[in-house]
Amino acid sequence: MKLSLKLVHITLTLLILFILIGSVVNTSTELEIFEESKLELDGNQYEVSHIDQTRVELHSAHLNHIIEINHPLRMKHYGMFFRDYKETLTVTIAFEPFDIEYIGPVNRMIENEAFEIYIRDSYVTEQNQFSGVGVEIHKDGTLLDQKLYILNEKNEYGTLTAFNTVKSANIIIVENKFRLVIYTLILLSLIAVAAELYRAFKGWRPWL
Amino acid sequence: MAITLFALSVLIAVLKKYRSLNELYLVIAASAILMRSFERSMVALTNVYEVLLLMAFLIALYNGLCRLKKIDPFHPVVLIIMSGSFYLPIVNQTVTEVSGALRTPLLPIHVMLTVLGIVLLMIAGVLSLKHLINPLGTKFGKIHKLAKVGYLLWISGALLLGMIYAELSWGRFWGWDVKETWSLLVTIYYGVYFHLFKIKNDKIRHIMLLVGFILIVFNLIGINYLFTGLHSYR
Repeated sequence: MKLSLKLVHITLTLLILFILIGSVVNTSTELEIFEESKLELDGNQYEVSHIDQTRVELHSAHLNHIIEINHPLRMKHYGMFFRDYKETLTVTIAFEPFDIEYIGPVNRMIENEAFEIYIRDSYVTEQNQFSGVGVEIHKDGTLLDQKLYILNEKNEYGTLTAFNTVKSANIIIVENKFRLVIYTLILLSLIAVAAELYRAFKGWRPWL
Repeated sequence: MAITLFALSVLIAVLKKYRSLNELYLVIAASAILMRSFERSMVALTNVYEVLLLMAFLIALYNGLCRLKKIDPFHPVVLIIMSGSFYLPIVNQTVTEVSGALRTPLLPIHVMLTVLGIVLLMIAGVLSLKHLINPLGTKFGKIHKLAKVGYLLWISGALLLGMIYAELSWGRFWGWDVKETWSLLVTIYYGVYFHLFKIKNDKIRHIMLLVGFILIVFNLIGINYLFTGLHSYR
């Protein structure tokens, strides 16, 4: 077996290893919030003014009905999933440290920029047999981004009537301690794959 | 589109214009993907039907390359079976809307590389079966090379880019979803195959590629219909 293919296997093994270790050591702080509750995220105070089937409104002391993400958090992925939508429906919004370069549409939301979160149930795709809820990010009435978080742990497709009973939300602060290591390993694997592909196609002339 | 493809492919096969059948596939499958893509303003690779269309296109492309290199292409019956598969009641031909989280430029790259890898691994499996039946067919070295390229594309598309895509969309690299777990199993299986390449017994290697074919087809289609998860597109 060629060296680059061995390298692909070594980096892949390390990747899986770090992902496995990460599932044990990564920190995940979960805060359950209720209407009119107050919460502190990395030193910033927020009040939960409203939770219902269409939106979760958080606001800080000086900004009304909007969420202000100011240092060092910003939304990474957000949305909600149903843990048990028949009894205790849980909304989950995930935040992540504002650390390394994240390329994505959320980049448009910069530090100290205020925006609103709307959670909508219009993204449910019965055809695919998973429940999903879309989250829209608005700023000054303009839709900036929309994403979906999906999960159906119970292999059930629930009607969203239970959605009307939303009374609390969970905010999860996830910190992946191995992100840099994992991205480095992915890059190394891709380089090794490219080297092996180059070797395989070297001298190949399909048109001759 | 599927009706046209199926009817024309049968007609051309009856007329024994196999060469035209291949070209027809290239044009129609590509047009179908492009039309569906324009309809949604994104690359249309979101359900089994569209993946089958891409596979039909890639197999026709492989046949075209074989003809250029004067190697035996697949029998046209393969393309007819493929277009017939579009009709299966489980294959949904309607345009599927993709959720916001999945609408990123990584989706077509992830899917295309993965499907390309799958097609090459499947071709290697079919050639191995042919070789087991008639040992005078394609040489093992060529089949092995096809499998290797397919495996590398599979790793880069399904695993590596899939991890980045999952991280950007869902905030984690790996989720032990049914398809993710099965993909890991497929990768380990082919990894073992490449580690055992020095086995001198050609028959065992062909059987391994054939078993790999079954694993990968189950991963591509079976998982979607038998299990529910983040990858259960239909």
